[in-house]
Amino acid sequence: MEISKKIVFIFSILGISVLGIMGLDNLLSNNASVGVTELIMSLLLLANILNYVFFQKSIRTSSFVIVFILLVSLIFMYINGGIGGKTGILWFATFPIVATFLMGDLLGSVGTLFLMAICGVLLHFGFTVFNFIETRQLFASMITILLLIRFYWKHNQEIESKMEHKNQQLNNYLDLIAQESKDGQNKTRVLEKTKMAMINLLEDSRELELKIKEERDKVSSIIKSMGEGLFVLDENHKVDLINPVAEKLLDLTSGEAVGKDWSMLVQTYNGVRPIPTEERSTISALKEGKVILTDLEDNHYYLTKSGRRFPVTSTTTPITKDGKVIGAIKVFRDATKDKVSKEHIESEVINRTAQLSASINSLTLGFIMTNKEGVVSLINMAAKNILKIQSSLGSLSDLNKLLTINPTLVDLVDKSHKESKLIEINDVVFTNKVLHLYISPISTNKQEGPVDIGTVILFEDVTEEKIIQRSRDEFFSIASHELRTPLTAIRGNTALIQDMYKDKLKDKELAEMVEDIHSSSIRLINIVNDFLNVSRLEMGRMEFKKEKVDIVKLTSDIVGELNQMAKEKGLSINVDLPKKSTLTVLADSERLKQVIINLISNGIKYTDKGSINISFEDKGKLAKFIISDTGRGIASANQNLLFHKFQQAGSSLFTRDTTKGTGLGLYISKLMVNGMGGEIALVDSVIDKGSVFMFTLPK
Amino acid sequence: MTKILIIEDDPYVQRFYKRLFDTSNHMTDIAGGGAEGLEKAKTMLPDLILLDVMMPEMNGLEVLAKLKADELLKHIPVVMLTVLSDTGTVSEATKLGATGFLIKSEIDPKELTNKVDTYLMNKK
Repeated sequence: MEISKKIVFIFSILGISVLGIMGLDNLLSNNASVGVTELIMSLLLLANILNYVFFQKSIRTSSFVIVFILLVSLIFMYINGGIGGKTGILWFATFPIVATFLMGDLLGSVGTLFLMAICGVLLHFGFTVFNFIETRQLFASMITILLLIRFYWKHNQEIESKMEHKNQQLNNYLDLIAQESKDGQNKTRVLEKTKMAMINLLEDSRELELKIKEERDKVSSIIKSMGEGLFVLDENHKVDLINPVAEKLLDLTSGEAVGKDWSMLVQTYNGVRPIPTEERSTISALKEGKVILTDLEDNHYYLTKSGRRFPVTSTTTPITKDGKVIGAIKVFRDATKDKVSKEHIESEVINRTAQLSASINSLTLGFIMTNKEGVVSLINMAAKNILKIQSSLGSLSDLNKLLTINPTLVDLVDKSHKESKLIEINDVVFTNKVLHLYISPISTNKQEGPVDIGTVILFEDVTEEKIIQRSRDEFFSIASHELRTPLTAIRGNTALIQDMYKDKLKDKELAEMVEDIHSSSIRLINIVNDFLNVSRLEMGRMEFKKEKVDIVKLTSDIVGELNQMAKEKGLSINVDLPKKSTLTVLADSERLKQVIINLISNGIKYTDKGSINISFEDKGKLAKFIISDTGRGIASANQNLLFHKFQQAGSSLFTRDTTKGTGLGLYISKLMVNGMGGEIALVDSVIDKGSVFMFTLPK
Repeated sequence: MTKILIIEDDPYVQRFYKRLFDTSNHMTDIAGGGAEGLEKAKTMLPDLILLDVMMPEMNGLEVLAKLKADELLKHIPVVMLTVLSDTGTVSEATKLGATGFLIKSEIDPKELTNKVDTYLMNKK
């Protein structure tokens, strides 16, 4: 507590006790009215102090109240003649002066002092002059009024200061408000942003909603337009949604179905057996949360309330949310067509299989089919007959034991699979038979590529063919030999007659006859020689020596021998010698001679005027012999027939000029040149201009 | 006079050869098969033997082998008569010691006698 307040407090207590004692004293001294007044004053002061203490009223205000009360009480006391007369008044007058001073109001205290002094002088003067009790009352009233005026003035001042204070406060408030409004602008900006964000969010959510709607529309249009029946069940096995196809297939409307238990709407059958509710796929999907597929093999049927029964294939998919099954979707289709086509396919497969196995069994070829592990899955009658077995074969290795093949059959099968191609094996000997074997891998074309599923082994009994082939081959060689022996006797004897018995052939006719026999026999011998050569060449029985032969010299020698023949037809044979005059080839000189003779004789034979020209080319590893003539040429249509058996250059396919030879010359030449490692060909031929032939031989 | 033994199974060819060589100052004898030929060779001891390759029972190559295995006969030149000109037979016969080859059907009678005369000359 401030010191000033303590003093006010002490004075107040003092006032209360003095007033209280005096009041009591006056009351006891039969001055009741003064005593009561003093006691009331004392109680009022006490009330003021208590007011301060208990209700925290301003001490200043309280002090004014005290001063006012004291003055009033003094005036009353004075009027009523209490407290020691005029000195008492002065004494008491010091109270408000001191109190005012102590309360910090110096001017107030001086003013009060001044007022008191005036009042005291006036009172003293008035009492002295007039000594009239009523006048005292008048002065007391005036003083009271003055005091009131002063109090009022003071109060106004206080109000002004209070107003100023309030203004100040108001200004502060205005400042605060201004500050706040500044803050408010910031806040508004923030708010604006927040608002924008909110709008964006709203737009986004709108967009999202649109998208969701779009998706939902899409889904619902898919569901509506899909070719399969679809319905959605909730977790209680009740229909939530059903698409038009399902409505149609199940003879139901959406109105009838939605909200109903699925098992009450359509009865399901496995073949002819009704499926109990607890076994139905929708129930299982809901219970176990598994996708359930029903295909044709399952043989499921729906029976609608209108009594239509049809086979179904379906997919039942559980709908889960947070790991809990909340429903199921079933997509199904009327499998009547599938069923029919499946049955059709099955019967087709049975028919085909029957046809196929009948065909396989009626084959004269041995047919064995194995799976990819080599286990025999099919063996036909022919195979059993050829292999002379009663029952079936176990596996490939069993077959391998019967047939002696190197490499083994198992290895060959592996090879055919690795290379994915047919392997052919000739001349497999089995007891007294010769077999021809084909090993073919079987594979199916899957998406990921061919997959081996087994092997087919075909075999043919070629024993008969082999015998026929051999006898045909031998026929030529034996026949040729047998023919030549008597021909030798004919030719020899006619030649002997002509040489040794000329004098006995005076008859011209006879001489001519002998000559005809002789030349015919020579022609026949040539034909037989050609046949024999062809036969041996074709059988590969002709061996070729590899000797160094000067083809230029050989040609010149042959030309020397054939020149006479050419001259008789008025033709010339020109040999264009190469630079070195020699050209060595690796060949069999006898065969080579035959080839060259054949080519030159052909030239002479088919050329009526002009010449036959021979030249050579050294082609590095090969030597080339080129022969051209100015003969009749070969029609382009016939050119590809050259080098074939029994073909004559220039002849048509069906007419033969037997006087010109057998038509084997070029064929033999070709076989011989090939046998010596060379090639022979027609280079060019123009009708009525001539032909160019060439052959090559290794050097 | 030189002696020539002809071993040949075909009677017509036999007679032709005999006629040919007889008319050209040679003394000839004929054997119709391998066994007979070997017998005759031993008694006759010819200057030259003409031997057919293709014969039944014993073929020319077998006869040749036997002739060359015989101490008495192995020096006699043997000329093979053949219709085959296949190198297999020729090389085998050469290995066995044949002196030459004559391809029956392709050789003119005069050529034949000339060749035989050449072989006989070479022997001497």
